[in-house]
Amino acid sequence: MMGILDLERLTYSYPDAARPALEDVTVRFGEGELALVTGPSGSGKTTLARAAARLVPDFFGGRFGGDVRYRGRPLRELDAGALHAEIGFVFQEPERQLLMATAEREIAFGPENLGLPPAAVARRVVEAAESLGVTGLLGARTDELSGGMQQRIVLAAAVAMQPAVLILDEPTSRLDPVAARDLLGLLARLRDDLGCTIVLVEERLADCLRVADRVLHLDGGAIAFDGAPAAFSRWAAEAAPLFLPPVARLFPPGLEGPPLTVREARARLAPLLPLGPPPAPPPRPSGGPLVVIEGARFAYPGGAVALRGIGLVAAAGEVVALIGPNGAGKTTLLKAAAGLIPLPAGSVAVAGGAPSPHACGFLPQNADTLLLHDTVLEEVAFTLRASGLGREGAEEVMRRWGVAHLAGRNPRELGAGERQCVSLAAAAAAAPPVLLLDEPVRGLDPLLRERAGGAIAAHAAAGGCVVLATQDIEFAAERADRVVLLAGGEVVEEGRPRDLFHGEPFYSPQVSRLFRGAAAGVVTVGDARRLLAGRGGAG
Amino acid sequence: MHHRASGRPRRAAPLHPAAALAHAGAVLILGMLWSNPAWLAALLALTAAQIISAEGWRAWRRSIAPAAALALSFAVFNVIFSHAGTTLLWRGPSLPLVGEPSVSLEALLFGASAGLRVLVVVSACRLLASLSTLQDALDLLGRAAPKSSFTAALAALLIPRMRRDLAGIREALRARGVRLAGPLPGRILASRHLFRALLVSSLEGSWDIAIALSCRAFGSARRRRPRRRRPGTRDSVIAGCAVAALALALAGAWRGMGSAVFYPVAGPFIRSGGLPLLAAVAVLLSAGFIPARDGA
Repeated sequence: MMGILDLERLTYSYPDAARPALEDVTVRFGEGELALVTGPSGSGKTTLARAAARLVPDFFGGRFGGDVRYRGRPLRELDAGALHAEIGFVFQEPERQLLMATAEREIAFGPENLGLPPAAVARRVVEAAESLGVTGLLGARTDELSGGMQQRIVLAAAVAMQPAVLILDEPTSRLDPVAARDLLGLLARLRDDLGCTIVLVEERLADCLRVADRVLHLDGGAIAFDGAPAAFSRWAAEAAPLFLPPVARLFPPGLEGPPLTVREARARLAPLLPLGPPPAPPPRPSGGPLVVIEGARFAYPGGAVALRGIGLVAAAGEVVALIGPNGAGKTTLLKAAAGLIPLPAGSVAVAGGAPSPHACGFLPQNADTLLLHDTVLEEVAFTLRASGLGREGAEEVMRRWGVAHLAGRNPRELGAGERQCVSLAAAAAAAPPVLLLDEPVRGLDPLLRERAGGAIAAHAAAGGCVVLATQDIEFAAERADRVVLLAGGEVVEEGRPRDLFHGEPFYSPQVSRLFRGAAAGVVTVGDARRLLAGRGGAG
Repeated sequence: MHHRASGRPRRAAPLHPAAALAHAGAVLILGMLWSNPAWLAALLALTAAQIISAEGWRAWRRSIAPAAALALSFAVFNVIFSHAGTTLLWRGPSLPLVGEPSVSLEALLFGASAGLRVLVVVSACRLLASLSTLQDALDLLGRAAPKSSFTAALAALLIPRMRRDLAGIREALRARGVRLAGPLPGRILASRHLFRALLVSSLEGSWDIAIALSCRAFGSARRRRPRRRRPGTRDSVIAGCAVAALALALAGAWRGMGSAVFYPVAGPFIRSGGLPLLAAVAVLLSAGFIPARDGA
């Protein structure tokens, strides 16, 4: 049977690559389905998405074998206009694919290129904007919108071309949890209302599985699993447990498989109620303060006020997570702590003095800006040299951050997840007492995320202090000793994860939502397992 | 987080690009035509008010700050080095090489005129950006040269992106202990890293742009020009008044109005009929910008 998009025995190698990125992959995407593509970093997810839109080999060269067919016709036989009218592609960074000065022109650009008459273009702009909820932004300048809004505009621009297939490469990686869930809801609507086939490449699966019809798990350039979400949960429970959402890791697979959503998990939890007393909280780190920020105020030259008198203290041995919506002031606060922006009011002290590269390592949000050299080893050694240390420690640093096997590779040629790990290693190489990390686990698959989390915890355990900004609420719940919720440049609330996330419906991890009203202080899989131990529930 | 405002995007271009071009062009030509410092000051005040009403005080201050330094340096250099004036305000002691420095009223007024002219020219460019988008202006020119105007629009979009990339790379280097200030050899070494990173990130950025263009089917069919908004009444009033103001000012300039004699004796700065002409030009350049009262 023919699908709308068929990949047949597809094998592809990037130029000069030692091994193929995709090897003998056969996939058939059906009409109107939402297929979730997941797998470890470097498993070939992005390459598969690119191949499905003919971006490989057209833009990347390399060796290409097999075939990709759209409604039975080989993609290579379609002219560019016909191809992109039918297959839309949205890649990770919205800012890098914006082509026009205003949102309206951005959305209109694709239909104009299809040669549609102005009236039809105008209609498509209105409809796409309405369906993505951006009608109010049509007159706005694209470079002045937040990342979340830019993501919506880019998606609206793709939708305006009315493609039959829409391919998205990690569209939620830069969004806060609420915006990410909104976006997934929008994708489900596009599938349901327009019958659009959606191929969604994602690392954060907790909310994606809820809307997916099918899951493809890639490993080493081949398809390791292809089936319905429920079947995926049974398969992953054995083969790739870290890829399961937190609630699925709590219950034994059983006949019906692990639950994939909070709702399903709640049904499994009901027979176990009432629960006993919550587990005792872990002891709080009790070191002296390493980061002290008082009354920090800052406004960018454009006039946007980013910090409104914020104070923050982080102690030795502590991991502090800054969370909050896009534009809350997290990045600015980290930059202020690193001494990278001058504060017109307030003060910052790091390790008892003014912020300096010796006192703190800084990972910028765009971690690629750290990458200057031709090999991973040189990259790490550069930080060591700049800090007056010898390059001898570079191997140890690379081992600690899990990038030793990449030592001779060019960082710019690595996949997004591995690149992020290299940037982390480069930022932390000089082992300063304080690490200031902006979105340290963005783009990391669950395995790399676990490893990075371990290295961050080890830094704190060794008497250092880590302040990180993250949109990954699950990561904050698992790894932070304290969470600070920011909004509008102010601290809204702060506390231990078990206190701050308890009972909250939106800015909270899945486990916390599951135990909402049933038990207090349960926010991680570990907490829940301890609570359910002996009650026949925990897997 | 990026420093972009998330919730309050700047007000979009309210004017038709032709009207914006006509209005800002008239201000620019008047700035070049007039030399009377009082007239230039009045023109600058009017332009500032229009920018502030469109984009706020901060935008005006940000755009004028670099030009103000240039304007001030023009004025100061003229005062110091020009000795053509006859109305001496101050004479200093005799110094080796420079002789007796002096400050004359004529040099002061000529310097003020040159500085004000710089500010008016810069303000006219900012005014165009406030009243219309560069993209709209390029679209207007795109009828004659569609490919060139599209390339220019893309380049205009990439410049602020490169500026942000450069700022990010500088921050990353500083955070790793690279000193971007200090002795020259160190700065040169640091700049090497900076520009290499910028080059790589720009190449990656242009690669992404090429992919995005392809994904939007650019070049696949004859692109239809976007449906252009028709000029509204306000657009027509503003464009018409700008042309009228320019015609009036040119007629006045024919009779020496708006110009000034500075050397050897400054003045006269007020001529018969000059003030009514200036007022008429100001009224014409304000037409369409003063909001009508509700119900009026």
